[in-house]
Amino acid sequence: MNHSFENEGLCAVPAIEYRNVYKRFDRTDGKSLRVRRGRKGEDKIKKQGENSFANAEASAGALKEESGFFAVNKLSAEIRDGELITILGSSGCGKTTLLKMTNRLYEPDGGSILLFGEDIQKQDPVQLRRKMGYVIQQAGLFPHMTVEDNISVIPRLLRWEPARCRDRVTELLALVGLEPEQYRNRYPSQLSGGQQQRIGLARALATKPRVMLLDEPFGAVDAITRLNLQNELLRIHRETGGTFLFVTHDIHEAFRLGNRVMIMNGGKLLQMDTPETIVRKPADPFVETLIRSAMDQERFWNSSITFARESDK
Amino acid sequence: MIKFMTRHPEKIYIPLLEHIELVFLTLIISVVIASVLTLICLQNERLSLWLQQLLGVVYSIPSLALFAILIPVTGLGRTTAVIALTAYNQYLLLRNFTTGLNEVDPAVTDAAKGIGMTWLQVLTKVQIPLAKRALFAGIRLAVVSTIGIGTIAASINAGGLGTLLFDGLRTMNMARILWGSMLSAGLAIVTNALLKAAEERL
Repeated sequence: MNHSFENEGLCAVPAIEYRNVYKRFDRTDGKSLRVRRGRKGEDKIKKQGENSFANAEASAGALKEESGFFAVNKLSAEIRDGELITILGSSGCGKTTLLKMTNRLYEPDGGSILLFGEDIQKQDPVQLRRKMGYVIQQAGLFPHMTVEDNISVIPRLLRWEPARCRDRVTELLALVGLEPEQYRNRYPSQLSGGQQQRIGLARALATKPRVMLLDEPFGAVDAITRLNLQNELLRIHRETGGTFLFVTHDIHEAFRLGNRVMIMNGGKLLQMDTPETIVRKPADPFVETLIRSAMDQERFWNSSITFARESDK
Repeated sequence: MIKFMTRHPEKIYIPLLEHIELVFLTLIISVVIASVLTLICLQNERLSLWLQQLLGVVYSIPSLALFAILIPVTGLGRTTAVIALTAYNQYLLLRNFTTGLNEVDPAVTDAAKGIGMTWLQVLTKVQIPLAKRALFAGIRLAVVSTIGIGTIAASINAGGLGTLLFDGLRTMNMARILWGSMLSAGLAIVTNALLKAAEERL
């Protein structure tokens, strides 16, 4: 297969293993919060926008508490090779923090994270990140580069031959469902939000990483585009066979995409199981509430449809 | 005035060239120092704030006073002038450089870091290209302010268009005063316009 990852094949070791990982945000520790000090400090936090939502949330939380709080609290989990895991939780539950610790954008305060059995703390952060794809909410494309340059940025840093870069871009654009010749020379500002997100996905897949980290990638696109992108993501996951970690606060998205779902609240892992098992046997009152709220919504839609049909008669 | 120019052309073009030389020399040294300071400031928020306040204080010292303070240390002449002008520029440059680089959308720099760029690659491939206008605007401001303050450098024997001005004032020679003021103002205005045009083409 064209798009398959290197070193494919089932591994006995888990792709990612979290062992008692915790991360504490302290109100005096500006560095880990990434809050910029200064007169305009508050504005800067807001300017970071939706993507760094967790940062803003974390800092807001940190200001409330005297001695800091745990964004991720003694979390342990195992993710098998080739799984598509969705991490579900409301804002500030630690899901983005967990993801950012996985590629060392954040450093955990304790515990360890193993990638295919190797401790990531012992690896060079830059090399580690190049082994993983990373997609964020507003795509974070480089506005001064064309689509082609955006996608091939890491391959070029790795000094791939120009022809190989070009071929890879063609392959990736086709993979994410965009006509290569039509889009490769455009700039991000000439693309719709959904298209930008596809390019973000293509860029992350460029070096065929075995692990993909996706931080609410479809959070800022409209419902129809989102549905399309979800279908594409499932197809891409099937075609590439990598391990995907997908953070979302949308329960429908989480249950639709994940072959297992991690539900987090207050930095703790409440339940991690297949969507069916979670619905049948919620392990925690919070999970139960979550599912009930989703069902209530469902009931609203169903009753509206019946109502509409009846009034048609 | 025209007679003055035809009779003593060297009294006009030599100060002009001296002035340009002074500005150029100051600019190169300033940008090098400011770049180093910017790199340090990007690593350390607290130091950055502290340094900007310090440079703000330096910037608010009147130029004649700053020249006077430096004379016992470095004596009369161009060296002193370059040191003082460079000190002034640091405030303008550092402020524009740091805000320009920090203004780059964090989503973009986060993504750059997250897909595996080193901090130097994030800086050179993402932050600087995206902030180049702000960086260039800082340089333009610094150049124009150096041209202006540079005229006062003549008072400590550093040459330049200020010589023409001060000589003219001392001897009440209208032609010299006019040439001196027109050329220094003209130099500042033309340079500003040229650099601004260049900035817009970036």
